[in-house]
Amino acid sequence: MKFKGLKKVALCLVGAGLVSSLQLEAAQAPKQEYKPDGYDIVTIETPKDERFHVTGIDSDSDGVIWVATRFGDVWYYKNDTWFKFAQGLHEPTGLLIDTDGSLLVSQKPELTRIVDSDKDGVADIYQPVANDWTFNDNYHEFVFGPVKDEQGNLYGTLNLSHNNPDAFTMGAMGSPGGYRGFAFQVDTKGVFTPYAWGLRSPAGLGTSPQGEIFFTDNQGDWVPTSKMHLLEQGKFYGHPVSLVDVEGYTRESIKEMSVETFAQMSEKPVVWIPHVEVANSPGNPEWDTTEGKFGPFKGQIFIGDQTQSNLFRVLLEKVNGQYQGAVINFMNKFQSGNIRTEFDVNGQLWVGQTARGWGAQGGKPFGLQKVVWDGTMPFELHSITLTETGFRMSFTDTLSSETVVKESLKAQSWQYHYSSSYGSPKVDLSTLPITNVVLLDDGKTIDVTLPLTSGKVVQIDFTGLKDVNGRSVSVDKVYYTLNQLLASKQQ
Amino acid sequence: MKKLTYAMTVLVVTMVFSVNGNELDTTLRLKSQDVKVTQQGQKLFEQICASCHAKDLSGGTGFNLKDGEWVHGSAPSQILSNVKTGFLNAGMPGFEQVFDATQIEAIVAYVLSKREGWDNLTYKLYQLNGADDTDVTADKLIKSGELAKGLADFAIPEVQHYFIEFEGDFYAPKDLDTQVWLQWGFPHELKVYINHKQVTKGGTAWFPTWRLERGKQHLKVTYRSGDTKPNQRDLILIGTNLDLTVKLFPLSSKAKNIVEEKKFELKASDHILIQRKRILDLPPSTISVGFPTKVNYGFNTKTCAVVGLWQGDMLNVGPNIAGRGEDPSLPLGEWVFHAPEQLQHVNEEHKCHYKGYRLENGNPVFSYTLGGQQYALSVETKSSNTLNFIYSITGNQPIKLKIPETSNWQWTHGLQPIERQSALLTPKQNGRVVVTATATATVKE
Repeated sequence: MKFKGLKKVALCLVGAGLVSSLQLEAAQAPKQEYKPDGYDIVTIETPKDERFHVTGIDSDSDGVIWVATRFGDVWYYKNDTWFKFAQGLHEPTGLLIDTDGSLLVSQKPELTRIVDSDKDGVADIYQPVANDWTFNDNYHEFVFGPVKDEQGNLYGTLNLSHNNPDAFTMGAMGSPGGYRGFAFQVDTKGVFTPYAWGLRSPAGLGTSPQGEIFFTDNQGDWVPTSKMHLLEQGKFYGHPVSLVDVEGYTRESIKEMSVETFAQMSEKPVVWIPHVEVANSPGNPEWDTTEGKFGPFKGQIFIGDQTQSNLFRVLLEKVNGQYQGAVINFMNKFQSGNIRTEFDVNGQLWVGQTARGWGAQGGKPFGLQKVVWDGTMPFELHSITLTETGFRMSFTDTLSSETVVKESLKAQSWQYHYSSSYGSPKVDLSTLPITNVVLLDDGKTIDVTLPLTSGKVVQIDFTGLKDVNGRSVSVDKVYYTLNQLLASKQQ
Repeated sequence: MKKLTYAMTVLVVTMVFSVNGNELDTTLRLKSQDVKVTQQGQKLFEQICASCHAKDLSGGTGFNLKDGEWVHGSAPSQILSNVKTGFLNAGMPGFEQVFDATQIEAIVAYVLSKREGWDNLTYKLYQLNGADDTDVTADKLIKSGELAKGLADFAIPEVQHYFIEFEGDFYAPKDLDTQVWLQWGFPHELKVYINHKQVTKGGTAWFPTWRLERGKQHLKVTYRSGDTKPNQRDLILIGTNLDLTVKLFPLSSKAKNIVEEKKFELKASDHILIQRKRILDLPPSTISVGFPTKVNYGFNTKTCAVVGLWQGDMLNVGPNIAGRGEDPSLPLGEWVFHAPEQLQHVNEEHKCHYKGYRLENGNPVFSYTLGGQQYALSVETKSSNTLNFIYSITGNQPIKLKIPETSNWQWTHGLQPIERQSALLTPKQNGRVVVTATATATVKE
């Protein structure tokens, strides 16, 4: 898959004549281990002799962890013991505990409600909640979700097919119809609605504490780099093949449309996730609602990457009423590919893992780990917000004022090229001069002055900063998706 | 003096043995081409040997018996000797007392006839001057040798630009058309020659294939490294069926693990097993149910029909859970029927609405509505030769079913045989219609 992609990108570069302004080095992931002070990875022993690829996790109010495995089982973990609850599912990739205690599991042919009606600890009812899409037995036709909004509606997403001879394709992935590449909604009465389209491999969904639904999508054809979007009804998210299921479009008419038209139709992601440096195949966004049990990152979003075996944070703000923000690495060196993240009532972050089929940095084929915080205040970038003259960056601990100088930071920016190519390199990569850095009165926040241009990703390195105890940060790069400038600064 | 005598004795004994061995080898090879002998051998093999070596000879507790690797000697006479004496410390008994000479020869002849892969495989490696060098001359030969495991090892070359060729006798299945498939095939310069004639490449750029002949043939495969990246040259060559749905045997070293991973057998040993996987010859959205009585069926949730029935062990899900799971799972037993033949309601105007299943003592009861009627279907079996399909109808309306075409099976309602396009079947007092399927010809062991 990777080989195919690089070849296609190479061909596109030559064709597009953009050679002079392109970043031609391959992106690198940080090789050394990085983790904030006070945080550790704990490995959970999984049931003996079981192929335990954890692709769905939820936790209940008792702190019991419920998982779905790629093999097709559901297990729960209580008092350090595993119990098998359900089986016979078709490669599930998501699990949600419903308010009545039943489980909602997304499997390839169906979104299923699983119930233990006689309360003997083993499921005895498997009910379809939704199966209104077409499942063609194609290995890539995953169903992700479900997540719920505050009205009780459920949402899921449908991966495109790959190597399906009946599919309509304009790149690597295809749709044979039947709502592949769509997000769907199932309301409280069980009515299925095709909700939004233009998705590719939307492997992670999450609901924010405010009840909004976000999803991630994977870098690939028509997706310059992995990204996260706000899910809204009737919107198009960039991959054209799912338009075959939208009224007014046919395979022929879609082929006639230009890339510019698709670009104008597409929603902008709230964040771009730089390829390899941060992630290749992100999982679900998970909000820290632990009220401080997991440390100082309250309200921030934690996402696992299946390829880089790391976790990264997403820091969102609203600019002119629209979400945008930054991504920043959090911890790496997990044992396998991190596809699912889940905070439990005890403030622990559970990470479901699989590396089968799509390689991962961690050497293990599957597993389950958790991240725990011991109460030590780390020294890391806490948040970043846009100002009229640059960015305001807050840190988790008091900065050493001597290190708050321009030389402690660097900045650069680039943009991505949207096309049918498999991913995009960094286009127009340029250094941004930092003209001023000011430490604010709280001692933890700095204002950084640099030129701002909308439509770019801005990377800020803050390697030189230290806290009053002489600590350096473990992660010294943040990547801000600058979709818009503040209203007063717009031309 | 003593040493010399000993050596001479060994030499003489070996010579005598090999002369006798050679005769026996020839006999066994001839027998492996005699269908009457191999059929007998197959019966005996499946009765006794399959429990450790698998019905398809792919191995389990015992070794794989159809690949090119013979841990204890590959000559037919050696195989015969090994079957007689066994390997007690590895858990294989000797069968000298169990079978007579003719029977053991039949078993060995059968095993030989199932041979897949290379025999007498050799390789030659030529060092080339650059990516564009296509001139393969004798003076560029840098390495050659035998490959006892019968697998083309593409990791052998340690130079940057090269041409490598693998050559030997090759055994492809006799009862099935197969082809060589190069996984991640683009843009490798691989050439295939059968019986000294080049085979035209088929398939697509990314899925290139070369058709094999049935049975024994002379096979040569050559590869020129060209412009490819060094870390992509450990090629995966796999023998497959013609539509690529089943990966049968490895031809290269790297392919071996990949093919072996495609074996993960699920059997309903002591309780009913439910699996939802992609299954060869069954429609997507089929739920399969396996019984300890060694019979299994598939229920399609899109059409609310029974779309498959097979006797024997349940499923090899390996192909569907190895790597990206691109390949279908394979039923382990024998089909009684499968889609498009199915047991279904005759009710074309209405689409069925699947409502889920409930487990009753581990046995699934499938619920659905069709044409305004509510139904439930469950299956009960007492043996692999008799099944009851129990339809529960809310409202006591009669139902009309289409019976699948099955050879040697009888379908009855009450004690009345049912025609293919059945008559109306009226539910009993308890609101049930029971359709019984019975095998009429049991395979004689």
